[in-house]
This record gives sequence, structure tokens and C-alpha cells, in this order.
Amino acid sequence: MAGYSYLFKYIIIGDTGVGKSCLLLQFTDKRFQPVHDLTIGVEFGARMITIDNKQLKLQIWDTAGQESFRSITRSYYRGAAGALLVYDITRRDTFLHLTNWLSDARQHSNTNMVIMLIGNKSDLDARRQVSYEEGEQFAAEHGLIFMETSAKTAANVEDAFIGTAKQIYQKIQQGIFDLSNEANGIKVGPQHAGSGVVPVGRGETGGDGGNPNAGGGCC
Amino acid sequence: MSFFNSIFSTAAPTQTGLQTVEKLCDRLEHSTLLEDRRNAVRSLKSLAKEYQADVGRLGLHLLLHVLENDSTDADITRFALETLIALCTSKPSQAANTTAAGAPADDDLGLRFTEAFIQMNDTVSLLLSLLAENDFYVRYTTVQLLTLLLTNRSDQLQNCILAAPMGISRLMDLLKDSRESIRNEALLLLVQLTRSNQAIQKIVTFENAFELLLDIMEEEGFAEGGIIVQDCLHLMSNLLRKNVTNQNYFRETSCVPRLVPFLRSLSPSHASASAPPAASHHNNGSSHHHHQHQHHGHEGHGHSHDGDDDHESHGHSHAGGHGGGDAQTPQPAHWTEQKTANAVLGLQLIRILVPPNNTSIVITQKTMLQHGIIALLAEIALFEDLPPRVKCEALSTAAEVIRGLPASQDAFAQCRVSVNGAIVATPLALLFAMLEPRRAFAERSAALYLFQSLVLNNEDMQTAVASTLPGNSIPFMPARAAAGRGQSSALGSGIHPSSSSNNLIATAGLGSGGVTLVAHVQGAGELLANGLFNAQDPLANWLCSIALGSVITNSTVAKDMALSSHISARLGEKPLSLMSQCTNAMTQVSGTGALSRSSVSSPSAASSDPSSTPRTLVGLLRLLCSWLADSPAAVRTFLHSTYNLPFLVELLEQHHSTSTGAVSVVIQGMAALLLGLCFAHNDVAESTFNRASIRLTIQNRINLETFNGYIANLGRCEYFTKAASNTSFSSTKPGDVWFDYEFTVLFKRASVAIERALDPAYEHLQTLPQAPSAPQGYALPYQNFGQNPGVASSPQQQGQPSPMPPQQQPQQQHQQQQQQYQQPLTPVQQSTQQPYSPTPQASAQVADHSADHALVLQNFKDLIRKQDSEIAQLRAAVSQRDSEIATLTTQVQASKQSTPTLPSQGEVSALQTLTTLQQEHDSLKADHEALLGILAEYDDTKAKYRQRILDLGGEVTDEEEEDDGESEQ
Repeated sequence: MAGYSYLFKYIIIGDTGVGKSCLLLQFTDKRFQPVHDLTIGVEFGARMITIDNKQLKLQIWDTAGQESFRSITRSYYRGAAGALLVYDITRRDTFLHLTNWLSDARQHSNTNMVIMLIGNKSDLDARRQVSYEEGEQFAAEHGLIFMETSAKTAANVEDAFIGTAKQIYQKIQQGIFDLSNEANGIKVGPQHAGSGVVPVGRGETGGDGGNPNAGGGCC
Repeated sequence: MSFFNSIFSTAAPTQTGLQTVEKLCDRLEHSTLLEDRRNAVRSLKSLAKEYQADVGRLGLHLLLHVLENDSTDADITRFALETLIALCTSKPSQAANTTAAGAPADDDLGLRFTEAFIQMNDTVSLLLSLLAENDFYVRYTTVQLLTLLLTNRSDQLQNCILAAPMGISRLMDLLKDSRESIRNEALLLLVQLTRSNQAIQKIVTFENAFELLLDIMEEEGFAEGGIIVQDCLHLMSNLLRKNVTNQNYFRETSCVPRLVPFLRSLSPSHASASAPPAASHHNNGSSHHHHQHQHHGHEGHGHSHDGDDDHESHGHSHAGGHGGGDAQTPQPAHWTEQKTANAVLGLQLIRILVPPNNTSIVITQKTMLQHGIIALLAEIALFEDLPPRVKCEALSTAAEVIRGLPASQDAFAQCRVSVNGAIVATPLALLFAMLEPRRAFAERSAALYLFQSLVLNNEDMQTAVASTLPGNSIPFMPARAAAGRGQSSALGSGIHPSSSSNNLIATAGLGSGGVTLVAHVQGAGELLANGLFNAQDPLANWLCSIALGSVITNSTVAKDMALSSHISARLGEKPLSLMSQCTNAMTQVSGTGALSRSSVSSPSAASSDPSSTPRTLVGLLRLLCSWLADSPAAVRTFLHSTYNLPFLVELLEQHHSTSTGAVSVVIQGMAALLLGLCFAHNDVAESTFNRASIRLTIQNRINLETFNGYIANLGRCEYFTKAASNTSFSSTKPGDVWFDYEFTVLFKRASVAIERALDPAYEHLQTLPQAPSAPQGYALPYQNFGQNPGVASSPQQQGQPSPMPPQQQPQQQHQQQQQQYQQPLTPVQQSTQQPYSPTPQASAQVADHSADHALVLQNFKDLIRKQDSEIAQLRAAVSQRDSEIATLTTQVQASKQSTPTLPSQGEVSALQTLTTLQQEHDSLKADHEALLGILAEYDDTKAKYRQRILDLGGEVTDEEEEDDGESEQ
């Protein structure tokens, strides 16, 4: 139904070409676009999910992987509750750069941000350069959740986004987040708060409405 | 203090001023006592305005030093910041500058010091870190200084703030400051910051800007909420304009419904029964507004300048409203200047969310429909007692919110509004507004824009309106309920309603499947027809012509309804067909001398607008262009009156000889276009006005080149390009506006069709009396074939043996030429590639039908033979390419295996060749298929002709049978 209990802000980070935008598109629109324009700056997507019978709205910010956009990307860390750190299992260098990404994220984000490590392109097993075990080990060392996904076949894509949401939700239940501070990327929704400020019954067009302008406008 | 006084006792001439500044700077630099330094900065501050150059030159780096090292002392920090503000402020006029100091007057000191200050080390980070200070004045002046720097050096500052860690977060936090003065200053800062920088706009959005701003607007009382609301709207417009990501965000995070209370605060029903919560908020906030007005005073300039281009036009419309309609519509009492500004900005914000001709806005349009925004807009736009600026903006906003989306258009048509105390349907109220002569041009044209948007790509709406034309005998049959939707809009220029996703709203919005639609537009046809021929109001003629043109555009049914419509021009006169009335009116307004502008004798002088008389003519020409385009029936009716074609020619020649003014270009171009449409969509059989005779007229009487020139000039003229660049009417001066956007779309399509139809190379495809609508269908692939140089030249380049002896082609052509000269000329014979120079006899001998058919058949055979050979050539070329590609592919594979790492130089070029070859291959294949398609159609036609020849008692020889067999292979 309309409204939501919580809104979580996510960012997707990782090297260029690892499939960040494709993961987002698969999650919000349930489709795969083999040729995707290079993301310029940051793009936006949204979808509603259900956890524990609660409607949760995910607001996802897909960042550009190139070095030149790094300072812009940093502006998004502080206000995010979750981050999907993505590498490409067929390109070892994208795995090796994870340490940089992680330290950047840790430095600029709030300490409670949930980070999920994602090895994408699991459908290309034949060209694999990073084993599942290596990914798993890296995640364990740095306290991340780990999952291999394929934006092409949609394998594990839902689980990656929803799994991250579950972690955040758990942290809320444990009282770790200060919900009065929206800067940590969590917003208590109108449904949950029950305040009369926002009219109930506002419709959501939802993520399934499609996001036909992923290419972004020009200046 | 004694030191301070001593300065002023001696400070009279400039020299002493400089000395004082020097002394103060020295003290600031070397004194170890904080209090001394603080006093020095305070004194510098008081001198900074008058001795801007000296204080800046000597003190800038010292002030920065203060900010770095003395930031624990709020007072000295604040004085330093205030001094910097004075230094970086540009003097309003250079004249004041010259008298004050001997400094070069042409140099803008404010900009120079801004530049110098930014370039010092990390100044921006330093300022951002000062925002962490909770002291009111430090924070307040820091924000002001940042705003000033941003205003002076936008790009540099934006980049510095982007690069600073947490820079934007800190600025966004200011919006949550409980001290309203700081929050309000922060709004101005963010307005400057977000100007044309997408990266910043997105980060600001990420930091919940929309939610915060909508909260502030609500707190302040929406449109009643003073200048703070204006700032909020301004900032939101910055974030959304041309930023698709943020537009998606706005839609997906439920911001659209939050615009509803804003619109409600504009609606007339709100004004009468002012909602208590908003009113109390208003009172709450108003004291702060007054407090803030001084701060805004300076920036106020910015507001009027930096908005968008519309501002100027609003100025016009405003003035127009006062001049033309002030007596009838005084500025409504409850509409303050501030509320008007808020309303206009808020409405513009909605328009930013639904930019026309963009398929991705449909979701937003639907969201707006779901939340009742359309009904609210209808109520606002059609309320009579509104400031003209607001009314214009509301009409245009409603237009773009419903444009091209049938569910929304229907919802709009269903609304009812009050006009002069009576409750009427919105389409009628809209036409009333358009036809009200006392209203300014801007309002009337905005009403037209809304009316056009109401019928755009909505054939049911179009036919519903057309069915109400006086005397129409064709009943309204909604197509949508029976056959779903989509067919009618296939030709449309703008948004194609996506059939799959519309159904939900369509059924909800249109309860009884479109039958009721006609009830909402009852009387519209009558109003349009009256306005069309109202001799007192040329502007109404023009507006109604365009409106009616949109009603019938791309709809055969609507055109037929218009054709069946009959009206009498004056009471008691015998009714004539609508088309005859149009052509009569055209002849009248362009009657002797009326067109050569000086001798215009506007009968009633209804308006002082010098463009009034040609305006009627241009309007009617525009209506006829929509009517005749793609409609052989309308062309037939138009040509049935023997005066019409000569009249068009006369229009061309009259204007050719008399004047070269811009309006003359317009009339010539439109007359030529209409003449061209008479030719291109002509299925007239009689020899007087059939294709052949019109071609003769164009080629001999007018000259083909001149004719094409008329059309091209129209497409190039400024009136046209301006209209084509914007779906709404961009100018508020009637003299600047001659076209609507829809006409420019029609023009582009029609001029291509005309050019193609006139091209001798396609004539043979188009003279088929049996298939009047076919030419476009198969002329296109043929054109591709003919004009693709790659295809035409490649066989020779490759040195390929042509499957047909090369001399055979000239022979054929020769034969054709001979035939041409021996046989009586018919339109069909113009098909040959030779330039055709018609003779009077030629057109006279078109009548004999059986001879005609034989000729047609002969011509087709020739053509088919020729094309057979071309196809054979192409086939050979294709197979050649195939083998080449095969060899290259094997080569590439071989080389790949041998060198698995980097491709060698040769391989790269081979790959490139392969790609080009593949592309060529593909295009050849496409051409091939197109040709086969054409052949198939020829076969059909030929079979038909043979049948007809047989019917007529002719003979078909064996040889011809053989030909058929060949071409079918």
C-alpha cells in the first residue's frame, strides 16, 4: 500500500564497468541492458520492498566509477545507510581496488553504514579471475556481507539489495541508529510515524514504472 | 578607542586615508594583543567601502590570517568576514569609484578581490569550517560571504565546495538551523550554489533538499508565505530544471502530491474560505519576513534577473493586462505582488517536471492526474479574476500537464468551472477565454495552447469537438472504447501514449467509454466557427483557425466532419460549406490592395495591431494546410471551387511583386505549401485541377525553383524557427507570433512530401489513380536506394562485372525517350529520368483512358526491366561482399589463433574493413529487400492493369506474360 515504514538510502560504489548501473536497473526495473552508457556523476533509482511485513523504501544512488568523479562520490557517503561495494569477478584489478574503496567509504561515511561486498558477473564463470573464496575471505576480514551476483541473469540481485536492508533493519531494531538524525540515511516513513503532516494515500509510481532516462540530462 | 578617534580627526584627503589603512594593517599584522587586532579589523571594516582598493591590496591576506588563527574570538572573526564582504562587493556604478580613489575606474575591485581571495590557500574550506561555529554572527556573515563569492565567481566556488569534504552537507545543515535568519540566508546561498551544476544539484537533492524545502513552504503558508517561499521555489526550480535524475527523484519520493496544497493555496475556492492552519502559519512567519526583507533587498535584483527568459515576457503580459483589461479586471485584492511571484514560480516548477515532447514524462503526468492536480489547475487557469501573469502561467501549466495523455485530457474536459456565474465545461470556458477580445494576446494565446494540448494525439477528443461543428452530419463514434487506443496517435508528433500502461487510468477517468466526451465539448464547434469568421476580431480568426486546425490534424474522421459542416456567414444568409466560407473569407481579406500593408483598411479597426489583416489570412491558410494534408477528399473539395487554385497563385505573385517584408514571406510560403499539398494529395480525375495541370502551374507559371524557394524561405524565417523551438507561444507580442508549434511539425512533414511528389524521379510511383495513398509507402525505400551513393557506386569501384552488358541501359533509356516523343504525353510518362518540359498539348491529351493504360503498362515494364537489372547487379555485389567477408573472417580467425594477445596493426585494419564491409552488406541487403518490396507492388498494380485492359477489351500478348514471369522470379 501507500506509504512506508522506513526509507533507506543506498549508494553503489566500485570501479567503472563492474556493472553498478546494471545491478540497479535489474533491481528497479527487472531488466538487463547489455550496453549501458557510462554513468556521469550519479543516477537515482527507487523501489519498495517488504521485510517483516513492513514496507521499506529503498532510495538508491548509483555512482560513477571513474577516478574523476571520486570527490563527487564522496559527498554521498555520509548520508547513506547502506553501500553496495561492487567488483567484477572477471577483472582482478577491480578486486584489488577494493581496499581503496573501502577506506574511502569508511573515512567518509557514518560508522553504522552497512556495506555489502558484491562480486558481479557470476554468469561469466568461464572468465573468472577472482574465486568465490577470495571474495568471501576479503569480506570476512573487513566485516562485510558477501554475495556473488549476476545483473544479467538477475541471480542474487534481489537478495543483495534486500539482504542489506535486512541488516540495516536489524540495526534499527537493536537501537544502533539514531532515527532522529536523517543524516545517517534512514528516514522514518509516514506510515510508521503516523503523523498527520504528510497526507496518507500518496501514491507511489514505484520502481516498476521504469526509469527510461537513465542516461541523464545535460547541463 | 582613542586611536580610532585620532584617525577620523585627520582623515580628510585621500593620502591620509591610505596612510591610515597602512597603519591599521601594520597593527593587525604585528600586534600581539587580541584587543588591538580586533580594533584594527573593526577600523578596517569601516574604511573598506571607501578605500576598497587600499584595504584590499594591503589587508586581504591579513584578514585571511585572522580567520585562520583568531577564529576562537567571535567578534574579530565577524569583523574580518564583514570587511571581506565589503571588499568583494562590486560597486554599483563606476562613477562613484572614480571620485573616491585614484584607482583605475574600469576595474571591478569586487571581482578582483573575490578572485584573489579564492586563490589563497584553502579559503573555501576555511569558510566552511567556520560554519561549525555556533555564534550567530559568525555563521550569518560566513553564509553571506559565501553567497557573495558564489555570485561573483560561480564556477570556481562551486568546484571548491564540491572538492571540500562534507562541503555541501554543511551548507545543507544550515537549512535546519533554528534561527530563521540563518536558514533564510542559507536558502539564498543554495540558490546561487545550485545554478547550472548538475553534480551539486544531485548532492543537494541527496541531502533531502526537496523534503526540507517543502516543509519550509508548508510552514510559511505556501503561496501566501512571502519571499521565503519564493526562495524555496527558486531553489527547487534550480534543482529540477534539465536534471532528469532529480526529476525522477521528485516523482519517486512522493514530492508531487506535496504540490497539491500549494496549488490549493492558489485556487479561488481557497481564497474565499482561507484554510485556518495555513493562515496561522502565515501570521507566525510574517514577522520574520519583514525582518528579512532588508537582506533580500540586495539580492532582490538577482531574483528578477537570474530567473529564466520568461521574466521579460511576463513583464509584457503584465503590462498588456493592465493596458488592455485593467478597467474590467483590476488586480484582485488578495493577490499581492509577492503572492503573484510565488504563484508564477510554483506553476513554472510544475512545468519543469513535464517538459513537452519527452516520452519519459508520462509517468509524472499520470502521477499528477492521480493526485487531482489537473482539476486544481483547471480551476485556477480558468478563474476569471486572476493577475494576468498567473493566468497565463496556469494555462500553459495545465497544457503541459495534460498534453498528449488521453486520460489526463479527458479528466480535464470533465471539469466544470464558473464563468460569469454559470457553470460550464472546461473546453468551453477555455474557448471563452481565448475569444475574449479584451484579454491580452499572451492570455489568449496561452488559452489556445491549452486547447491544442487538450486535443493533441487524442482522436476521440478531436472527433468529439469536430462533431459539434455547425451542420455536421457525421455522428461521433469514440474509437477508443471499441478498439483500444493508439492507432490514431501513430502519426502524432509529440508523445505517443503507451497503450499498455494507460488503461488503468483511462477506464477510471472516462467512465462511460468516451460517449460522454461529446457532452463536455458541446458548443465548442459553434464557438470555433463563430470566432473563425468574426470580422471584428482578426486575432480571433487566427486563434480559431489554429484551434480548428489542431482539431482535425491527422484525423480523417474529424476532417470529414469539417467537410460536412455548413454555416451561414451572417444571420439569414444561405449556409455554405465550412470550406467555402474559409476560402471566401480568405479572398475577402486579401481583396484588392488589402495585402500591401499600407492600404490596409480594417473595417472596424478592432485593434491597433498592424498585423491584423494578414493575420486572418495566415490563420485560414494554416487551417487549410492541416485540412488538406494527407486528405485527397479535402483537396478535391478545395479544388472543386475553380477560384481557389488561381487565388493561391495570385497570392504568390502578388506578394512576389509588392513587398519583401517578413509577413510576406509567411504568406508566400503558406500559399506555396497549400498549393503543394493540392498537388501531393491529389486524386482529382478531371483535367482542370489534376496533378498534371498543377505540376504545369508550378513549373511554368511559378517556376519550380521559385516555388521551392517560397517553402524553404518559410522554414527559415525567424517566426518559424522561433515557433518550432517551443511548444508554447514564446512571445507575448502579437506581431512576433505567426505560427503555432503544431504547424511547424505539419510543415516539416508536408514540405518533405511535396518535395518528393514534385521530384520527377518519383512521379511514376505517384500517378497511380488506384492507390492515392500509396506513394509515401514505397517511395521511401526507393529513395534510399537511389540516394545511397555507396550502393550506386560500389560495383564500379570494385571493378565487378555487371551481370548486364553496360550498353544495354543507355539503349533502354533511348527507347524510352523515343517513346516519349512519339506518343502523346501523359502524366505517367514524366516518370522517366529525363527532365520533363511540358507542353500545352501534353496536358490536353490526358483523356484517352485505354491508351493511357497501355502506356502505363509499357512504362511499368520498362521500369521493371531496368530495376531487374539493378537488382541483379545488387545481388552480385551482395554475393561478392559475402565471399569477401567470409575470407576476411577466416583470416581474422586465423590471425586470432596465432596471436591471442594484442591484435596486430594489420589485423586491426582488417577488422575495420570487415566492419565496413559488413555494414555495406547490411545496407545492400536492406536495399535489396526494399526493391523486392517495390517489385511486388508493381506486380500487383500490373496485374490490376492487365485485368483492366482485358476488361476494356485490350489484348495482352504472350511476350508480356513472359515479362511477368521474369519479374516475378
